[in-house]
Amino acid sequence: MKLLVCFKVIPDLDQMAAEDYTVDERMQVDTSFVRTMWNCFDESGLEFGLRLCDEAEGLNLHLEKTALTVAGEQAELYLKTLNALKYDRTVRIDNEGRDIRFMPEGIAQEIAAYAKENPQDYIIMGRQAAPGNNGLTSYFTAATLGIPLISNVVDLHLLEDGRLWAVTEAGGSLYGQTAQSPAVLVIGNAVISKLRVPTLKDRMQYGKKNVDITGAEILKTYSGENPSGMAYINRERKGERMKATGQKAAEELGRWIKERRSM
Amino acid sequence: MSLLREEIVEELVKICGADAVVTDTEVLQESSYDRFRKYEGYNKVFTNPLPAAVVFVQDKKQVSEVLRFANANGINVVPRTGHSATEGGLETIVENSIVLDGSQMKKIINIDTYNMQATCECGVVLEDLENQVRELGYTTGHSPQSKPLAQMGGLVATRSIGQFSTMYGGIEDMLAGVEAVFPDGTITNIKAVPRRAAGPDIRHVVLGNEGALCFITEVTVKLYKYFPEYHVCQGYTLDDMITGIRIMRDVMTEGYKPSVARLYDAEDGKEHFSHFAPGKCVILFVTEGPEKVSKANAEGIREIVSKYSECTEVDHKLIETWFANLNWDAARIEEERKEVLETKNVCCTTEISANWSAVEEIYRICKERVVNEIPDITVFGAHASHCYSNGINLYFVYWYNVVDCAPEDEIKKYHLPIKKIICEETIKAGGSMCHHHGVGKHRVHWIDKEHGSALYIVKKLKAAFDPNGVMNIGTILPYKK
Repeated sequence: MKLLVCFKVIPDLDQMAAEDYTVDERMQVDTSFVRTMWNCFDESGLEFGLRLCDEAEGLNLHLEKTALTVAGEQAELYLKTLNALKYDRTVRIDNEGRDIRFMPEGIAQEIAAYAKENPQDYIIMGRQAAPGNNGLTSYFTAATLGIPLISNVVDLHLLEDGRLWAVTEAGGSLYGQTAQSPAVLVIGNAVISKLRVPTLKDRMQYGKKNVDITGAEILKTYSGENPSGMAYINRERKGERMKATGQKAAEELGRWIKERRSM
Repeated sequence: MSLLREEIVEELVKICGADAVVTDTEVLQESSYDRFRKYEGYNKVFTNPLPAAVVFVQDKKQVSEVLRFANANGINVVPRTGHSATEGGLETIVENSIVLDGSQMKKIINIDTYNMQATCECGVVLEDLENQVRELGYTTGHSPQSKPLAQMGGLVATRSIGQFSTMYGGIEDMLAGVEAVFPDGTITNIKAVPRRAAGPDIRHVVLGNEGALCFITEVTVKLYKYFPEYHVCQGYTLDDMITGIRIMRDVMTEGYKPSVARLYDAEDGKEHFSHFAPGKCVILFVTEGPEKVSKANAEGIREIVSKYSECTEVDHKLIETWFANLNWDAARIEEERKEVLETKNVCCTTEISANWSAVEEIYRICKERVVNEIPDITVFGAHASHCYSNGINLYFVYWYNVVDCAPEDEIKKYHLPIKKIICEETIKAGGSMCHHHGVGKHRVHWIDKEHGSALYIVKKLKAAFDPNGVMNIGTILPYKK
C-alpha cells in the first residue's frame, strides 16, 4: 500500500507581537523572524503515517510512505526529521520563493501531478494551515484526481485487507467507515496531535538521506488570486469582576448582557 | 514516639486554622514531588510518601510555630513557595512530612526607590515584583526563565540566577537583607545595608539553604534603573562551540559587561534557532543600562566578535523575538505535559560551572559519553548562559524517548545516569556540579566530592541550625535512615 502524507511548515504566530502585524506593499506580513513549526493538522497526519506503518508490520503488510511539501528551503530540516523517522521518501516541490498563500488550487494541482506520476492508495492532508487557512487544498486535490474525499478524520487504523478504517467527527458524534482506495483523507482535530521524535542516532544515520526536490512547474505559470487588502483582527478580551453573589450576581449579569446587546 | 498523621494535622490546624491546612489527596500527591519527577507526575504516578498536609502559612509567627512543633516532634518539613524546583528539593521522601508553603505570603512591603531596594514577603512572584518596579522605571535585574512562576523565597533559597546575570549577577549579588525562621522557631532578620564587615556574611547561611536550614519569610533585593530604550541586541551564527566559548572568554576578560551573554551549540540551538541557523551554533549578547554604557559595551563586543571570521551577524529582531518568548509560565508547562504524554519524549537539564581551562573538556567528554552510553537520546546539547571573568556555566539540555520503561523507572534508566556522567566529569575536571538549580535530592550522591574538605563547613551548619534533622531531609546532604 502506498501512502502520501502532505504537510506544511508554518510560522509560529504565537511568537508575534501585535505591533509585528504590519502589511507590506506585497500584502505580506513579515514572519521570517519567528520560529517555524509543523502545521498542527499535518503533524497529526504525519504521525498517523508512522502509526499505520507500525500496524502494517503487525499485520505483515507492506506500507510505503512518502511525505511531501510544497515549500522553500525552510522545510529541509523538517524533511530530514521525516527521513530520520524512516519515511521511505521525502519530497519537496520547490515554490522558489513564490507567494502561494492564496493558491490552494495551484498547490493541489502540484500534489495531484505528483500523485498521478507516483500513484498512491491514500493521500493524507491536514484540514487547513496558516497563514491563509482557506481549507481548500485537500478538496481541490481530490477534485483534480477525481477521487473521493473523507473530511474531519480524527483517527485512522489499518485493516487486515490493507484498507483504512477512518473515524470522522460530525456534529459532535464520531462515525467509523472503511475508506476505499484511492481517497484523500483530511485530518481534523485528531486523537493524536504530536509527531514522535527521532533519536539522535537515527538522525545521524538516516537524516542525511536525500530529499527529492522538484520544481513547481504548475505554480510557475499559475496566477492565483491577489489579495486586495489585509487587516489585523483584534481578538483582545476584557474581563470585569462583579462583586455580587447568587441571585444578585445573576441579575447583574443579565443587566450587563442586555446593555451590551443594545449597543 | 512519632506522631500519627491525624495528630500532625490536628496540631497544624490549631496553629494555622483549618482553611490553611490542606489534606486533599490530589494536593498531597502534587506536593510530593517537583519538576525532577515531572514524567512520573504527568503520568499520575507518585513514588514518594505523601505528606501529612500542606500548610499555607500567612505570616512569620505561624512559620515559627509550625517549625517549633515539627522540631519538637521530629517531623520533616519541606519549605516551598512557587513549586518550580527542578532537582527534587521539594520531594517528600519520608512519611508524614509537612509541606510548609509560603505562597500566600505575597505582600510587597516596600519599594524604596531612594535607597534602591524592595522588600517583599516570600510568596511574591518575581514577575509581579518586577512588573511593579518597572512601572516606576526600575528593575530587580533578576530574570530566570521561571520568572512567571518562581517566588522570592524560593529564588533566594535555591541561589537562583537570571538571564541578565552577566550584568546584575546572581541572587547573591542582589540580596540586601533577608528574614528567616529556624527550626527552633527563632525568627532572624538580617538587615539590608550596602555592605558590612561584622563577621562572616550571614546572608550566605540563608542563601542557597534549599530549606535544609531555615524557612525564608521576607526578602530585600536591590533595584536598578531600567533603560529598555537603550538595549542593544546582537546575535551571530558560527560553526563551532569551542570557538564560541573562546569568544565569551574574550568578552569577559576584556572587561565588557553585557547583561545577556549566551552561546548555544547546534544541538541545543536546534530547538530555538532552526528558522535561521540550522546546524549552526549561535552566540548572542544584550547590553543595557544608560545609553553610553550600553552602546560602549555593544561596540566593544562587536569589535571582539568581528575578529572571528566564522561569525556571521544575524538580524537583531530574530534574537529579540526569541528572547521575548523564552520564559516558562503555567500555560507552557501544561503544553509540555500534553506533549510529553503523547510523545514520551522528555527534556531534562543539568547545569554546571567551570573555569575557562576546564570547560571545553567537560563539554566534549559529557557529549561523547552521554551520546554513546545512554539509550534513546533524541537531543543532547548545551548552552552557556552565565559568564564570569574566571569561567562560565554550561547548561546541558537532553531529550530522550522513554522506551520500554514504566514511568517510575524513567529516572533510573535515563535521567540519573546522564546526571551522573555530567556531575562526575565536571567534578573530576575541577568544576562545580550545580550552577544555579541547587543540589536538591538528586545531586546529593556527589556532594562530598563537590565540596571536598569544605564539606566540614556544610555539615557543621546543618548540625548547628537543624540539630534534630527536620528541615527538608535528604536535601543538600544525603538522608541516612
